[in-house]
Amino acid sequence: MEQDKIVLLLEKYWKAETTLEEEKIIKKYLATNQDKNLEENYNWFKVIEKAQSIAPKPIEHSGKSNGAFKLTLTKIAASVIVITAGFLWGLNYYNRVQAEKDIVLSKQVEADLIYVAEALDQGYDNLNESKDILLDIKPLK
Amino acid sequence: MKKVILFVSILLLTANVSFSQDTPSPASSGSIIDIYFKSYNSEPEYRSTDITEEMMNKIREKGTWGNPKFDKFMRQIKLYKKLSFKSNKEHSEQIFANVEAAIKKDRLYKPYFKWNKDGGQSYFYIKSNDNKITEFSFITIMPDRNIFTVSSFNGDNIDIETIRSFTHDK
Repeated sequence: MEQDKIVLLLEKYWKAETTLEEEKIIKKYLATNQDKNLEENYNWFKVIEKAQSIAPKPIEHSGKSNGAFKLTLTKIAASVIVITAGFLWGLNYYNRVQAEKDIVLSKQVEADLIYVAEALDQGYDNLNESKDILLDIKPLK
Repeated sequence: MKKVILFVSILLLTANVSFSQDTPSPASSGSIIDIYFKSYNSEPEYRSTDITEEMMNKIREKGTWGNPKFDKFMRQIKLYKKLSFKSNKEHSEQIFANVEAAIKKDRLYKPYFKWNKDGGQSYFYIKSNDNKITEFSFITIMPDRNIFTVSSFNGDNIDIETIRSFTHDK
């Protein structure tokens, strides 16, 4: 009776339709009973058992190492924020200094231009005055 | 033998004179500051400023010019140079006398205008190329402040008359 049930379960197994519970039942039966009709199944389950024993175990983080990992991540994030903030502040400061420098230079040029303009204006005024004086001179009668 | 040496010497001298006349003077390139004031870079508080076309474009983009007329005029300028250093009256006059003599000798610059203001003197010069003014510069001696300055505006065709209008709009 139990053997029939196992055979049915094995059929389901090979169709990949068994649940984990049903697979446990199969493994338990094969471990405790010797049935020559099921010899191929014995070999298969031995192989997968061995394979499971040498498979790499999943990495488990203990609570302590996980905390350290999070701390490192926090430190990296904080460093990135500080560096970015510093860079942005530096860039802003550089732009501000550069803008002030541009204003100083432009004012220097403007002062020169005004100076030249005054000089030229004065020159033309003097020239016109001289011309007017010359025009006012009347020939002696 | 002496005749041969004399002949070769005359030949070499003649060749040197004729070739050197064809070669343009290296002093003819650059602004008045580059040509006549490089040797004064050890003067006290020597300061030199160059504003290139690129920088002027940047100033224009930021709208830093105080008046649109400045912007309009400065569009003609490709390079602005300013030089200043500390110098007392006697030393400034000596420097100017040397520079003036060199300018007269080289004939690269024409005296344009001389202006006396508040005890200081300014000497304006222009450099032209095919009737186009390519440089407008002025040397200023301010004895009361012990300062010697040189300003130079360089371009392809500078219209000096436009500068005169600044006094009416400031």
